Amino acid sequence: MNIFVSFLKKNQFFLFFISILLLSTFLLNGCKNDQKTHIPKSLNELGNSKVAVVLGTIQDIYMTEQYPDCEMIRLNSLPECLAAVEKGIADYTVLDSIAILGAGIEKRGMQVDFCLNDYTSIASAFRFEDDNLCQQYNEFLAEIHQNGTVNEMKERWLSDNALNTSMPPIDRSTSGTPILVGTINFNFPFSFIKDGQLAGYEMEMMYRFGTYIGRPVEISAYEFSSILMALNSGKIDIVTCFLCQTEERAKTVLFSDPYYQCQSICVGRSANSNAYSDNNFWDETKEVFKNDLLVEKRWKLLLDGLWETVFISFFSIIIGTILGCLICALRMSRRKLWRGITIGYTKIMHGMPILVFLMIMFYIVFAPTQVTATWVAIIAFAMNFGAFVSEMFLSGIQSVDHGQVEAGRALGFSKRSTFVNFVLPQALHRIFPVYKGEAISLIKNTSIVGYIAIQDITNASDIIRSRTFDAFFPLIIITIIYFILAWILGAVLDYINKKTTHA
Amino acid sequence: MITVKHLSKTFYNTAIPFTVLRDVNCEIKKGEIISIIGPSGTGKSTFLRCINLLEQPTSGEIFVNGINIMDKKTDLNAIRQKMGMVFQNFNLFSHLSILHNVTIGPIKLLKMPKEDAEKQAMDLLRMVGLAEKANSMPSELSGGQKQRVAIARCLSMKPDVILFDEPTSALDPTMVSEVLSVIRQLAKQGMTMLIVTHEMKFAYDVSTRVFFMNEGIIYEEGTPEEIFEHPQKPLTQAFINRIRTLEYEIKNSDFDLHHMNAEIEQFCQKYALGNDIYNRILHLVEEIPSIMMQDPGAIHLKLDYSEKNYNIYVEFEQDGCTNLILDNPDTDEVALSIIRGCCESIDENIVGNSRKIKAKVKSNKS
Repeated sequence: MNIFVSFLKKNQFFLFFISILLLSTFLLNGCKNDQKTHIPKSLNELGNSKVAVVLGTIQDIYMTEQYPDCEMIRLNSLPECLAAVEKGIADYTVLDSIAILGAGIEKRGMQVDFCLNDYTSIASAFRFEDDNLCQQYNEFLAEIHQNGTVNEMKERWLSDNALNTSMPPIDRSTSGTPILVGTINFNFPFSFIKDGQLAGYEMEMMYRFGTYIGRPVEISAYEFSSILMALNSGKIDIVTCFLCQTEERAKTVLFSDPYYQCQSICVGRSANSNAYSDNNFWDETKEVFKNDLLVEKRWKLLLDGLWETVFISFFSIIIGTILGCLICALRMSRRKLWRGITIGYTKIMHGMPILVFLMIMFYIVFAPTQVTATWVAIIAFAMNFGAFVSEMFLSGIQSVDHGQVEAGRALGFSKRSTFVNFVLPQALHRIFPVYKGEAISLIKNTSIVGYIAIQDITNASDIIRSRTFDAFFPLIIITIIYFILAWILGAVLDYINKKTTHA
Repeated sequence: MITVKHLSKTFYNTAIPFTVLRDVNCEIKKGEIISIIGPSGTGKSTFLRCINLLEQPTSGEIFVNGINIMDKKTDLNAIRQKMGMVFQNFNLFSHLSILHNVTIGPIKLLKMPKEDAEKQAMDLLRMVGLAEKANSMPSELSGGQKQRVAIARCLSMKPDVILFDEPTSALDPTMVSEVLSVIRQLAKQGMTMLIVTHEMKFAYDVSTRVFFMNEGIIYEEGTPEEIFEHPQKPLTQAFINRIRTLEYEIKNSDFDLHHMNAEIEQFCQKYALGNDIYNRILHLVEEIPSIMMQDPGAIHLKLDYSEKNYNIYVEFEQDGCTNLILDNPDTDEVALSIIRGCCESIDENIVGNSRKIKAKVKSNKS
């Protein structure tokens, strides 16, 4: 009991934070919206309503061009679009008919208002210089059409049964240069994570293609917004991610023959949306918890993501700190050249968004090398962190009174040992709070590594959200995890600080 | 023990190169206690800091125990270990406790075992009266306490000589004596010390020799009696007697009398000389030049006031005159009587080809 009380006393802020989170969960789930009176029958009737679309999809392009009166809300993924409609942020969402398979929109008080009449072609993308591969791929598509494999696949993935399907066994080649395939990991039922593995219609198709041309297949998952860049920088050979054929894209990549025709639908809130009121809050939360974490062992995704986040953060902080010390040392050097270089370096790092820097490192600088994405991320974050650390160290060292140096020298300490014994400890003590803050914000900044195909914890939550169509609960879980990570790091740094000051 | 030859120091990092030390020569023997006094900005501290090369001299030679410390091959750190320094701003290591401040030198530099170093530190802290503060941090101490710890830290290295750079200048008056008494104690134990100070009485009492520094050199040196009681050179006298001076140039008989009077009034007000004295001075500077104006040639007027013994002198100097005028029977009797009424004494003499009249203004007490 006493231990518990002392824990409470010591960790007031922690508990305060957790309770705020639980409260926000409650509010988010409990929030309900006005009923709607009018159900549109075509896009013309949408007038100036707010329409949610997934950024960069064919629906986005189409709506923006054809219905400029609508207020577009461009979101990153499908679950967010559905959540936006559900919570009343948007009035409608326009998306692929197949995408809402398994989303359970009726249960969440939404309905399909109408289907659009036009179809769009979905195809894979290649680099222009890889037209041979594209040719083979087209032959492969023709063949699976003829021999009925396509129907099998459609039966497997695109029916109501899809939620319970898993990948069929396919003989895979193990020799030869692998074909590198890029996809997204949140597009049920085409490419998604099932039991910790990429699965879905497109994935089955890619493995079959590998078998067809006798090469092994390596698939990695990217953010949708950066996937074509990955293709053109040579990180991958084929993009298969429910990519719509558009004229604009056809200018930068080579499209294969279409393998799927997609119809768009418009989803809005149901006329009488009292679907919630049947369930109470606890039952609902239990259901969400089960869906998000227990089904298909999704907690394992989070655990793997957590490991990735911790790995990247840990090495970025260590390497960044060492780099920062080095830069700081050069910054204090007598040579103008060194000073100029390091000042330039810090200025660039301070001025560039870390996301942009990460993308440049991955898609340009390290594109021709074999360095894994994780290590590219570590290098990028370490370089960024190093710039901040060097600045901190410099100001810390400069803030130490020169009298301390003179006192040390006058006692007979050498220049170096004066620095080590007197200047450095005082500088470190002073910069510690800022350092701690920067290190903690680095952990949170790593959440952008999804852009370079790393499955960190944020990415894992995106995957879960894409499967369960639950927009918030996974976010709240990872928020708590990030908070705990930050808390642990803070505690560790505090401990080190305490140990070193009283040494 | 310490020999300084033709030491000079010019600072080049200022807008105009600024020479602080021109040519300093001295020899300091073991056991001597030397006070260095002088007006601000005359290089006292710079001189002290040159001795352990905290400032790099521009030229000259410094020998410590016969070793040229400006030689690149000299192990400067070893020399510094035997040469303690106490700073105006104490410069205690602010991240270390008082005890650590006093033990870090012996442990890290003299490789003394920790127990011995701590025992020695406690003895030293007891000596300066701060043993009970051993586990405090510097920020918890008053200025006087910090300076005593700084002295203990210095002593922990068992130095042959200690350099004190204005040890009491940053202290408020109530704390000065506690620091000075520790230094007096060291003096009794025969420690060789160089002390830059503004505490004249202390310097008089404690030192074996006094350096008066001015104009970048050791302007005058001698025993405390010689320097404080009978300074030989004019700048030393001015400094010791704390003489304040007003100078004025009377070019010819058409000079601006009101402007001169205003300057004198300002001077009298600044040093609170009172109305009587002001009036006497006015009489003197009016009457004496009027007599002197019989001869052509500008008159240089100098008003001296000593803040130490409150003597006020008015001095007139006129070039190109070789005759005495005060004892001249042609001189106006009325003017002379006014003059004599205003001063305690008045001398006139001829130096070279210029006439000098020096009058001591009558003070209120006499």
